[in-house]
Amino acid sequence: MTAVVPKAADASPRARRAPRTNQRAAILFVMLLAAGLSLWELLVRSGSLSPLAPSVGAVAARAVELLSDPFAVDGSTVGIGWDLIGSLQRVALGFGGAALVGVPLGFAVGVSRVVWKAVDPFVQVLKPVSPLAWLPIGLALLQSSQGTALFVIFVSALWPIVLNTALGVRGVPEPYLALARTVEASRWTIARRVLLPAALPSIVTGLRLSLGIAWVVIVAAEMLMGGQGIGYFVWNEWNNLNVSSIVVAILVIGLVGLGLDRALGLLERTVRHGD
Amino acid sequence: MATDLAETTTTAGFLTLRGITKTYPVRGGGREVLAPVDLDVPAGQFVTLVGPSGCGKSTLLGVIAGLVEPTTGSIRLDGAPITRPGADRGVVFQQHVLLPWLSAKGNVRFALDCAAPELPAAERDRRAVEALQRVHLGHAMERKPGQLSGGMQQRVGIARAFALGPKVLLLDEPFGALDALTRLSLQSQLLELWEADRRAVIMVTHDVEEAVLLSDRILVMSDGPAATITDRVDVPFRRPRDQAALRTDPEFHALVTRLVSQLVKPV
Repeated sequence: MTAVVPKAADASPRARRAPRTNQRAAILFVMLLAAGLSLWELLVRSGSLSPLAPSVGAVAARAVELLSDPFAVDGSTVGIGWDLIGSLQRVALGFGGAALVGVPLGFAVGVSRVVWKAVDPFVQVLKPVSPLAWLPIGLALLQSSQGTALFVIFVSALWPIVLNTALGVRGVPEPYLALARTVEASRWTIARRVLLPAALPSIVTGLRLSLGIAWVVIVAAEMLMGGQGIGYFVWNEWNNLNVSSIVVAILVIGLVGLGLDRALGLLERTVRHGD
Repeated sequence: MATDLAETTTTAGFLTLRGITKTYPVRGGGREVLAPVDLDVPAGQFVTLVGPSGCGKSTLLGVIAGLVEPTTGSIRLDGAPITRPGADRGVVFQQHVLLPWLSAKGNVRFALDCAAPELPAAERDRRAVEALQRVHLGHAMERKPGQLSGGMQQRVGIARAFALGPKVLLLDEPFGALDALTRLSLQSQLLELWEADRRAVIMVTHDVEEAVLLSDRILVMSDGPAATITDRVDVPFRRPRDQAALRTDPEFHALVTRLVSQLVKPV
């Protein structure tokens, strides 16, 4: 029923195939990249795109320029690194706040059927609302663009955390609870030593989803709100008609998002139970 | 009061069930799982409930564990009424309910932490280690359940129940999910453990040989719905018992055959 030792022999044919698969995928990746860049360059050179479209070379040159000294301070203009830090700070605050509120709230929702049923309609209606729709509400309530950016991140990151925490707590196997009752575990002990660890993988999954959403939303929010941040950088460069900077920024945003996701993915793996 | 006293002073009344019934509400009435069940388990007796699958044996055990509320009837353990789960009854679950994020020792410790918080931590630790050593898992105490075989996981479950020092052990088809060889080995280990301190045990099983091998008394349950105890059979074999020797005893097979014929109705 339960394997004592991982069966190394079973995995070997797949393991042998894996390097070949990876190699082929890498070759295909390079081919797709080359084809994409060639097509882009071709379109730019033939003049069939708008004159604003930068060539591959122009983007590469701009990337070197922006990324060689990302933390440069030159009078009123500062490096892209500072914008990135500004965005990451906002995400950290908004997402951290959402985690602090969302995990306990999700826990309460998961523990009680009554609370679940009462809260579910709110979650179901508010979940599909674009986070940016909250922006004017934030402005009206807080009357500060900085506060509003945090508010929007908070709201958009909250739902996945609440939902996944609640699902995790609800999904705790019934026998665990029966066991806890037979050894006379208190409610607090059950919450802390049974429900929380059992729901932890699901909670971390919620955090991972939320962080991804927060990173997507912050760029849009900053484009509208201004201030220092990678979204503002994109908007600012558009106002300067500097499209090559925007392409570089998109790559940077993607890579940072990937990094955040991988970090939470790593955490997800460490909290997963081996059963 | 006088009858209570009589019951507690004679061993016959160590664990008593009187008129226990369980009816689950279903649309248009109720589904009666247990017809009135009366049961007396003396201190130190190993009692087994055998019966067809789904006849309500496990429900009855759940009632004694306090996990299932009976529709009518009362239970007393060592003189005190039972109304809820408690660590005076050590439960071994069918599917070795171990918390997968805790080590084998952590799982036993968890039970002791909850049931005996008044003990110093070092003492709880000592008891957990001792319980695991008694089921020959001293070498695997730090392993997580996922790194243990099915038989080892169930031994952790047994160690956990014994570690609490309960007044009665409740075993719900403890070896049902194991392969035949592992089951034989665990039956011997349980026999050995039980002989050491002869605690009252109620075990549920559908394995007749297992019942004859381990118990002092076998209670045969009728097929559900509305199951009840239809026969009580005393098992005469002397203790300590030796599994291999018993299996060559013609009396052993005669008893097994008799019980099987009672349980298996001609189609």
